[in-house]
Amino acid sequence: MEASVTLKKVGKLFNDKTIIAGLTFGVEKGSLVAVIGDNNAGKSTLLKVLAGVENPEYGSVFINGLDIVKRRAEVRKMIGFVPLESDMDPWLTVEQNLRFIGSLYGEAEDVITDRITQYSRALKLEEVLHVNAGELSPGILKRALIVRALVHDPNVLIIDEPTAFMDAEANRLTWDLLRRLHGAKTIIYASYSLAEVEKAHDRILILHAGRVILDGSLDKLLESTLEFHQFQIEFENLTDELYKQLTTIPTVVTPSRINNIFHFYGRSRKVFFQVLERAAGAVMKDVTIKKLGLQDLMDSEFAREGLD
Amino acid sequence: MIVPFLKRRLWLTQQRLFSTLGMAFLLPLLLHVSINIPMRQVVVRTIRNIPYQQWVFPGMLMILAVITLIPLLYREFFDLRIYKKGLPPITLTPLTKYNIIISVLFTAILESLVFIIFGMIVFTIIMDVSFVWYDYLIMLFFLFLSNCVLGNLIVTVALLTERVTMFMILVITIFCFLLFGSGLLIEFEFFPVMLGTTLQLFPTSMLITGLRMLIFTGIINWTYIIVPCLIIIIWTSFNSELLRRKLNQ
Repeated sequence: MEASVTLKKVGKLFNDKTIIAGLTFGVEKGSLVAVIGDNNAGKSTLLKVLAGVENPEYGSVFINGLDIVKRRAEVRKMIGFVPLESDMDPWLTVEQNLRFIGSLYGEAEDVITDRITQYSRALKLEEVLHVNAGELSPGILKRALIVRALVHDPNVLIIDEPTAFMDAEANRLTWDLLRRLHGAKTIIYASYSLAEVEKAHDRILILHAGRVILDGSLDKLLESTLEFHQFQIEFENLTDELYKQLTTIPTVVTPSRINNIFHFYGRSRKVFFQVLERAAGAVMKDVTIKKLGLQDLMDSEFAREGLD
Repeated sequence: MIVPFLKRRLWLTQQRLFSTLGMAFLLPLLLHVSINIPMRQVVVRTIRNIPYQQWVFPGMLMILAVITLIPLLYREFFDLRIYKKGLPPITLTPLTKYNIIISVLFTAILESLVFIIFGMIVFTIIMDVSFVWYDYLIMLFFLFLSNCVLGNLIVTVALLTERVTMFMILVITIFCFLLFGSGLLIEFEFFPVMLGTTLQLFPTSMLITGLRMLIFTGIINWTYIIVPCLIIIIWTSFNSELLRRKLNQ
């Protein structure tokens, strides 16, 4: 697959503090990439560097093979950026904001009109097009920012928190639109909503202290770090001997106990039956099996330390 | 490149059309009452024997120009920059920083010139002056140039300051200097020779001196036109570099 976005040893500093530390990776054309991480992990800064809002201190970013700094004018037309908070002119109406920015990209008036109509309909924004941006709620403005980012038809869309400040309906409409665009446009977004990321991604980048510590699809990440399933068995009486026996099963990963509860991870459900077999005769009170999610991955030590 | 910026100013002006129109007439009246009426009691004729009303007319227009330019450029390069509204998406378009500076400056200057035309009408009615029609065109040309100088000055201040108090202090200081130290209301001959000569080197001083020389004596001093033009070109480039550095783009 052709790379749409390529980073080569990209670094960003702020007052001598490293925000992004020599990132190197590529993003395939038409893919949907989620960037997650703690506060101050460097997510927003990474998106700003990709969008050209700020230049990196070192390294290069290429969009469709063009250097973002050296071929600025051409690259700018290829990128649509949605910031976290509204940066629209508060004294202009939403439509005026959209038309103004569209015309700065050199788009014809009728083309701008068509795109505004198309995307504002998709995000149910028609009613607020003639309202001043300064009078609207952040959730509505966020949708307007998405329309603005699409008004010049970029092929790379960079979004900081796609559904920030949005209600349930707006959230659904936004993801409906982004899913429709997925494939035709490369979409890179940062989000704190792990449930959202679990549902919508081709690839997840987990950032910590400016470094990508994990990179891949959710299944791949879980497989390569935590195991797939989390098990919990509550015994009537978990003796030390039984606990020792259970922990010696080779497929049981990271076993632990809290009183009579035996907790462990396993790559497949088969592990659970091996444990049951070994514990035959012991009375069990409760059993819980859970497929791990992104939250577990983020909570784990692996997310902090990476795979190194 | 400039058309979208002009449209945007038009949209903004439409939203407060009546207050803008009111301001366009009220501002020259206020300037006349607060500056011209008391000053003409002090100076009836200039050292070169030109009626003060006639002599001060271009200066009054330049004061009007700077008063109208300040809020326009403050909004674009201070307010919208500091509060990250409006300016960031402009900087993400294919426009170069030079294009952005030129477009915003030109738009603000054009709007200021509209205010100046209103001012010309009001001043001509209420002041005791007699100019021929082409004098007004000459004045507009020189005021366009002086607006370019003043606009660049305000843009530099707006880009260099991060706090509104500092911006206000600097702008008020510059305004006072323009009012009393650049030959708008007081002739340079009233200053000590060294100081007067130094003050005449400021680009707006050159322009107002060149303008008065042309309309009152018919002599064109090209130095007073070419030097400010060169300064405008260099200053605009400096401001675009300043904007680039401020935005780290």
